Amino acid sequence: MNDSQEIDYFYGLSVLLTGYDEVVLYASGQGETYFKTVRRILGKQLMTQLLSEFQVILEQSKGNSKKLHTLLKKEMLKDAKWGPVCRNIIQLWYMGNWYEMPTEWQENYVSSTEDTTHVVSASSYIEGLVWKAMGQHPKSAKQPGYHTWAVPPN
Amino acid sequence: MKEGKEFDVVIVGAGITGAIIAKELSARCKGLDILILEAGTGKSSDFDDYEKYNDQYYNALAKTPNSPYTDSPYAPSPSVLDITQIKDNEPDTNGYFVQYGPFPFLSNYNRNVGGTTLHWLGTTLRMCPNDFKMKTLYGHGVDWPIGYDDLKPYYRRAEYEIGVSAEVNEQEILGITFDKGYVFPMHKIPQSYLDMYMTKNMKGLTFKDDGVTYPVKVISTPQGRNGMPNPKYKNFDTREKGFMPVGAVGNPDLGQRCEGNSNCVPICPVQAKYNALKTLHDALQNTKSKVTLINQSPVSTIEIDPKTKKVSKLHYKTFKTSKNGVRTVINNHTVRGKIVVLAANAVENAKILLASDACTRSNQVGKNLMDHLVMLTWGYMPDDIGAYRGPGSTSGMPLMRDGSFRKNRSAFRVEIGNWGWNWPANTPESTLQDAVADGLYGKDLIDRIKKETSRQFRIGWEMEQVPSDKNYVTIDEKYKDELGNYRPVIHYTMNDYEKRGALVASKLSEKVFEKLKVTPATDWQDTAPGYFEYEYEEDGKKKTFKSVVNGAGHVVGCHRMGDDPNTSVVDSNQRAHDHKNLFVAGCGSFPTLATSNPTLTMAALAYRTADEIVKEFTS
Repeated sequence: MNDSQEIDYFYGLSVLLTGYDEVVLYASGQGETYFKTVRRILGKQLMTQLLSEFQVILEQSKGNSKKLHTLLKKEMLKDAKWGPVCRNIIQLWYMGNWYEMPTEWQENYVSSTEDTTHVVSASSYIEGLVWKAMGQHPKSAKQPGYHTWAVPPN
Repeated sequence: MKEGKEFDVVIVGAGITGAIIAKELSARCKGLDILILEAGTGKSSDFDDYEKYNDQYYNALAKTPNSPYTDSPYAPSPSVLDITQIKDNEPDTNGYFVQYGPFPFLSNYNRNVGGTTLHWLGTTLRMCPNDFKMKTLYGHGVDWPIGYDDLKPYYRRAEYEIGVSAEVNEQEILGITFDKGYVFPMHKIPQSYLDMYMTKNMKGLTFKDDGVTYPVKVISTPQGRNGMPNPKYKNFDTREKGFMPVGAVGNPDLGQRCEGNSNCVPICPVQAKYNALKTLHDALQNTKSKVTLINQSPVSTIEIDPKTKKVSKLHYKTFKTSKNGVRTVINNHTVRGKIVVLAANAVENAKILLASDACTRSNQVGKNLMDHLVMLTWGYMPDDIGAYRGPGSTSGMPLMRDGSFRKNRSAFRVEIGNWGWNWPANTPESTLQDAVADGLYGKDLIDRIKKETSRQFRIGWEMEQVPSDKNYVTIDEKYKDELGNYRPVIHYTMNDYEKRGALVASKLSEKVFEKLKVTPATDWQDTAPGYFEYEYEEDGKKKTFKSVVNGAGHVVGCHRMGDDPNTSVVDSNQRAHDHKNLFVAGCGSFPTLATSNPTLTMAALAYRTADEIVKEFTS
């Protein structure tokens, strides 16, 4: 897989994990940064492995959404190796933070000096999807305007 | 600047008190040379500089009150992250404070140009008349040497300078009166949907204490936040008609009105919320007298002339760090002032006085440190209340701020929070983390986040702490910062009077939650720094109340005002009894804390002090 293909699969996996369409993820402008963050911490080899296994899941489910989610849960989210990675990918998109991997995972798979809990960037905070899921705006950005807090929600 | 130069006025601290005094003097006196020495960093008039604060906020992992602002080892600010429970006989020396306890002092403040008003919420409540007479009326603490009527004209001036949004007819409660025809500069900030939901669903709720029935009513909170100017506003002192909101310093079209950034604490990105940079900016622009502001210059000591007992010199050090952050150059300086004003914060003022052996007659310096102890209760509303919108709080339930019960237990102010569980439980981050740990992803994750956060609701119950001889600040040769200045050494506890207040507040909380059909989620951890227990008897049974309080950021006491120089540090104009050319100004002068957030009263007192200093130069 070349870089461009890997990024595509990363977006594909992210769409499933976050519940948001590709359009939304692209609009955040964070995709490439998150891809690079995960790859930098996992290392190129493990990253390619992750995305190749995801590619296999896509092929095996042949467009059947139910099967896709079953495989995703079984092979990725509940997997000892990929589960924590998937959860971190979700939290990257949702909060703009990378959270240090569990000690057990670091011992069994990768121990990287880059694997520290941190905010990826100011814009990753602002583009965090958690605020969108809430139906709100990120604290200190994208302000909805005077008086809007008095209006009934939705 | 020439070493040992004599200024007409030297002000220590570029927060709201220092800023107000500098602005008043430079507007009303001619030809004065005024120096402001600020310990921390920051520029006063540069919006680019402020944008850096916004950026630091976005990049901060723990978004604490001081997280946007620069912290320097040469002028450290206390951080909430440093606070822990205190083990027997072992002081907590984690951060800037050295805490002997037994209970940790839970609050923090900000040492930078602009001071703590950079991160404050903006709540601007007046004290109520009975607040000034705690000893006479309720047998606790001490009385103030002045009363509400004495402060009334100064509250007006403070409300103008800060730019307060409120309606007089809603604020005529608790014996608080306003001059005939007075209106606040701006109309009240719109109450949140949550406020109105609570108003509707709590109708008729009352609470009985000490034989008196109190209505539990949601009332709008006056705040220092730009809203809609009130066309009826007239400045009683300048005769000016109408009010022009002051926007961001260096970018005045921004922040003309609150835009719902929902981030007052720790930073309003557009400066719709008042901060002292606005007043400092005006002070520096005034041409009648000259104001010079020097930052990165913590004052170590003031020198007292043994004959005149006046302050003769100030000793301070400047720190300048190279652009690459590698090298810091430190220099020692002296400066002289005909009048000297300490306006560095209650604890910092006490620190300087103690280090200087100044104001020793009353033995009150550093004594009676006070804070509002904030107990949080939280839960789920039955409906979507649109949490996480607007200013941190737009209303409270203030009618129990005063009453005969103050003989027995602490009064409390009730703050309705608009930001869900952000304070008690670090939401929405923790909601996200919990959902992900539960295995949720995709649409299920979105659903869970929406369902949870939209109904998250919290109340803050702010207990008044009365003066106590167990609560004091001191200094110790063992504990100094990187510049060689003393770190505050704090001895502190939560007394039964306050614990009883918390117990009553918890009962009212239960009543309110029940009426609103809130599913409680309050989770007080015994590992929390502010964890406490209170044993009491009820219906003949022994019970233990276990709860957690947090600091409100209301750092008060340590240089109390009074008429008697044997029992107080300053007079009612904040002039030091012991040294005639010294003023020690700020929340430190409060003899008691009351149940209002202290900033508005501090600002009112700053005007009293300014008037007194103006007299020195115009007589």
